[in-house]
Amino acid sequence: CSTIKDIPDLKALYSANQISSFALHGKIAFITAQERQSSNLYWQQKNERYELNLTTFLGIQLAEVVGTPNHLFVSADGKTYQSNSPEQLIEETIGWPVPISHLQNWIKGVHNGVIINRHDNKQAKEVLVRTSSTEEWTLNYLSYKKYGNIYLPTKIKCQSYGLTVILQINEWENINQ
Amino acid sequence: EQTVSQQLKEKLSEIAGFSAQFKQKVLDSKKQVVQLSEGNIELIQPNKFRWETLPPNDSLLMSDGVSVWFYDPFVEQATVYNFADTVNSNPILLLLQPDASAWQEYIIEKPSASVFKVTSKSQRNQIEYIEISFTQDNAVEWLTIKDRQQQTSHYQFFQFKQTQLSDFGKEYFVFKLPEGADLDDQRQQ
Repeated sequence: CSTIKDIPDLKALYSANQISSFALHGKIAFITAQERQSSNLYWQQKNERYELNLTTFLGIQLAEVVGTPNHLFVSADGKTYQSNSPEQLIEETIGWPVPISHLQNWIKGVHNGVIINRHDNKQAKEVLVRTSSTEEWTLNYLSYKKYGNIYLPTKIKCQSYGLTVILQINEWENINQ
Repeated sequence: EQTVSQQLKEKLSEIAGFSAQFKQKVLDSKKQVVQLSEGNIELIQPNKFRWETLPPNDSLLMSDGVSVWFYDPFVEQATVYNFADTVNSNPILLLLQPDASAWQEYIIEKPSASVFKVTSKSQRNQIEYIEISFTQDNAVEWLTIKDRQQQTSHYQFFQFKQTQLSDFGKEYFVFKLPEGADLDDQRQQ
């Protein structure tokens, strides 16, 4: 991936692939047949390191997830957990099997999936992504907003088997800063 | 000489009802802004209120006096609880009931002339303490919630007005489940 010195800032970007750091305020929801959970979301990403803060409408922290590709720290309900396998730990601690290593790209509209259809503005709408030999996700990019000369997603539905993860991004910030 | 807790209860009992707009700012333990939102609140003691947060983080928390409803349009779901179950777990709802027995779960202090601090005795409560500040003419000026992860949620109130039940329509505090929304009923019968 790009080294520090040649990271273009927002105005010079022509593709979301060039985004190596960002912050966003929004909401995240997890929907299964049995339950629907949602929380406000503050996501900070610096290269491969991500920090997610999940908070209730009252401002009370539900969980904090800090991770890099091979290490994860989760704090929830006053307890803290560490692991080297992000996806498995997240499911155990906050009960949501979130493909966090994929989400950090999907959230920018970056994926290696098959685009099924597009919006009028040419941005991908429905995308099929195979994340393992046994797992496939359908990504629905419901809306975008233009930042500089690139489009960034503002609402995404990610579905796999019985789980739907919905991401709403109210505000993108600090892109490549 | 009145104890601090009697002073707070007296102040609260003088506000039989109020309506206000609010701006909320949430800072995490590193003082980063995690969330900003705004909305409005109407509250009538002892058990009716409507706490609406506006888009993009919209949600609605309201009580008809019997049950407390929380509607989250993001997942199109309403959750309903018995009013009694919620009062003990949420110190803000204590503002509704100056003489509720739930007060014993909290230590009341007065860090400064206009500010009261309500600290949960139970470690299980996700809220460590709330601070509430009153203006000279007894309006609620601001309210801060501190949680166990050292995150602070600060509510600044504006357009504070004293109100009474007759100011509101009969149905005002009655929750209507929106078309197509799911209901998660948490009321243990």
